[in-house]
Amino acid sequence: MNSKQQRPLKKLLGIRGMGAALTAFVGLVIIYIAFGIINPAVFSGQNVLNLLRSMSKYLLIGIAQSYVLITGNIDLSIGSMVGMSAMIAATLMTTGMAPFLAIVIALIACLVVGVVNGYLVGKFKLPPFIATLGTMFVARGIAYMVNGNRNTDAIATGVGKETADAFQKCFYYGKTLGIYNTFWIALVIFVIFFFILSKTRTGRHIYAIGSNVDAAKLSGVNVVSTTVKTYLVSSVCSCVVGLILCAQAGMGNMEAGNMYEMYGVAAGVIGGVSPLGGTGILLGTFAGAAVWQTLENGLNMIGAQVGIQRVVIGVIVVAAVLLDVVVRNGQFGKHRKK
Amino acid sequence: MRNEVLRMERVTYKEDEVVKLKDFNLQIFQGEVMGFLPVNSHGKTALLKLLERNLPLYDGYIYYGGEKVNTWKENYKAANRISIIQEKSSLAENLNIADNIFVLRPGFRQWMIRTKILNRQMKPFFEDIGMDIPLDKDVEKLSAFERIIVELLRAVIMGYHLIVLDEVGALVSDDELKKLHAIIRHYVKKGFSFLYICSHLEEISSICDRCALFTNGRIQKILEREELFNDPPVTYMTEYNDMVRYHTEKREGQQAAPVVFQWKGYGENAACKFSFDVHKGECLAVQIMDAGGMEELRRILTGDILPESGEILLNGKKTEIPRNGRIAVIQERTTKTMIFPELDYMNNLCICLAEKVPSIWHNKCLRKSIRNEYSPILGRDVFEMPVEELSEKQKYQLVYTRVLLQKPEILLCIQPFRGADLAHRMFIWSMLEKFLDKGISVVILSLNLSDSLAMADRLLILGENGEKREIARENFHKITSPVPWLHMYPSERK
Repeated sequence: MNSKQQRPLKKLLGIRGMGAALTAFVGLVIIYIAFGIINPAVFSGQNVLNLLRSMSKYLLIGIAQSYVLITGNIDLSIGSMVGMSAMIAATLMTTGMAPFLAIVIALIACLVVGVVNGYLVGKFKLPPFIATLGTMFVARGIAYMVNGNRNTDAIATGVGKETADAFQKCFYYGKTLGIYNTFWIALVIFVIFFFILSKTRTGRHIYAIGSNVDAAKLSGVNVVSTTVKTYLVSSVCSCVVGLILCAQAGMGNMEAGNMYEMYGVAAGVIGGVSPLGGTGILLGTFAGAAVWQTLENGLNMIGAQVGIQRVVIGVIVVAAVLLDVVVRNGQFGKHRKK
Repeated sequence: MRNEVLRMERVTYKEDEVVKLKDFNLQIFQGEVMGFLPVNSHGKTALLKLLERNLPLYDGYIYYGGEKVNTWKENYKAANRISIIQEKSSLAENLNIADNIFVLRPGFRQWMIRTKILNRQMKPFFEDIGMDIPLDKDVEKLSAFERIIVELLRAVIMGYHLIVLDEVGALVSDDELKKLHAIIRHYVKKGFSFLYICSHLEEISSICDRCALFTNGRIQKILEREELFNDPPVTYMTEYNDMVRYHTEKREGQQAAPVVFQWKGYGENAACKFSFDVHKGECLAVQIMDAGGMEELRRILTGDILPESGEILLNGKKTEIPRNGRIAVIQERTTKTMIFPELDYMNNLCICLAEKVPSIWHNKCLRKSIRNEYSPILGRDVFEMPVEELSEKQKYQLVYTRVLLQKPEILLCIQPFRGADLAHRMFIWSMLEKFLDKGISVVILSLNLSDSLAMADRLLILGENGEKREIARENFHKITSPVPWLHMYPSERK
């Protein structure tokens, strides 16, 4: 290979976080092929479509958590916001409200939680773990209270079968260009937030806060506003996932999105987003979400028990973080990597 | 007429009812390098805070760029456009140089980042000072010298008229310091002003136009450039001069002793080219010319790296450094890196004894006897005080006494004088002398010579490619770089 050919590759690998993202992609390919060899049905077109649809939820949750993680914070309320948006949208639709209005109200509710999270962490300096733990309970509580501590009826009972079908097709069952809409929605959101994070001033401010918050302040970065923005991104993504779950079930489930905040952390971390802040790209989160879903899908296809699935996924997450630490410090244990 | 950049007039500033600056007067003109020599560091941090932000004054006025920015009557609050470059980076480590210089500044309004354009805009600034740093390099990967240059350039590009350099000489090698001084002179010609804070008159003399002598929150005297060379301000440092003289004289006439410690290419990169011997009871100053090599040494000594190549020998036997009670290591910024704030004083003092005396934690009588033995030296009160509330001097005393209790055969100190003011440097000398008096060898590893020569029996200069230059004590006066206390070395004195 001549030097001209090498340069773009070197440049690509020189992008911070790209190495981890590419590693995750390589891991994804290996995992996918390995499962495919064990069970060729993994390679089937329908399975690929299902896989893309299922990974979309993790991708959105991953984007949500990655934005927050890069600032050096965490959002534990993501799962509860998913549940809350699903319940609010479903409850309103069962009362006959038009889906668009129900979506807007669910979105506003999530944004309020995001703003509260952002101010508690950015302005009032509450530890993000505690602040978002609080809002996690509040949001889940709201999800319970919205319909009087029970799941909603089918949304078709309120808005009619035709509208309910349209809503469900729009978010989950429908296809565009042969691929489920869920994936397209996630992809559009991914592209928008990828662009914001990597190509805009706001993106740089997010990295700067995660890297050195004092230096960021001295450099004129509005830490409170930027922190609020990251939690708002988290809210938007959580809301969309809530709507996807609502469309999937055709009703609101109070427990929807349970533990999703941790799936978000896992997707980000597998893709190279550092839990210590300042590092990571959304391309890595994409790969992380895909790895996560491929593992789940593959283990299901080969008939592994749920327990084994959890163990394997847990090990992969720890291994990914370990890899991050090793690469970051340039050492393994006490011996530096040569 | 010279344009004034900064004027601090009769400034008195208090923190928690403690007077940090008292009737402080300082004037800096456009296009000058003002030296600032803190004989003790009381009030230095407060001064830096006041330069950066306009905190409420108890008395006095501060003018910057011809405008009144802070007075005792009125607190203007706005931050001053003054850049402070010090050991702690003010850059976002995970972003590249262009982002730090252009994007992270208050005036940057573009929403979309065009990296190529930013790099193109930045290139002339680097060319102007003859520096060649890849513009897309992450700040995290920069050396200390490169980081200082980037911060300096950021200040220049942001149009800050006053740049404060706080003890940067301790962060870079001699060659890098020369380059930095050339760059400072370049910007001085362009009208930028600098406040150069340094504890060594020799370093200040090599770059500054004037120098302010600072003691106990006050400016004692402003020395003009001629005075820096012709009339060193010994009046203000008589006590210290006497101490240096005492130490230097005491180290004269040391007899040759057997080799106790050998470093034979123990390392992975730069350090694998280093080799040196240390004699028993000797004080060896090792100047590392390469900042990367120094960092590697630090990581080896603190146990972050266990190199596979080379070896270290103690009394002729191969050994390792971590968890070796016979080899003690004291890290730089001792009072911050070597103290356990959560433990009480006694635990801090005895923590190194556990290997030799395993019963130390459950044997109250033993701890009591240590306390009784050391109370007259360390003071009785300190044992009851939370460690974090100890004064800097008490913290130094705690760490050095702890290591002394350990009774090592050799003590390796990593830049022991870094961050210490003149008074603390003297105290560190006296503590190191206690080791030498007990026949314990002391190795002082540093990037610059700092104060190490005052008590060193030998100086070893290790170059980037492993080249070694050894200078015996009797030839110290021949060293050409700005060595602290140079006027006091034997031959010069005679």
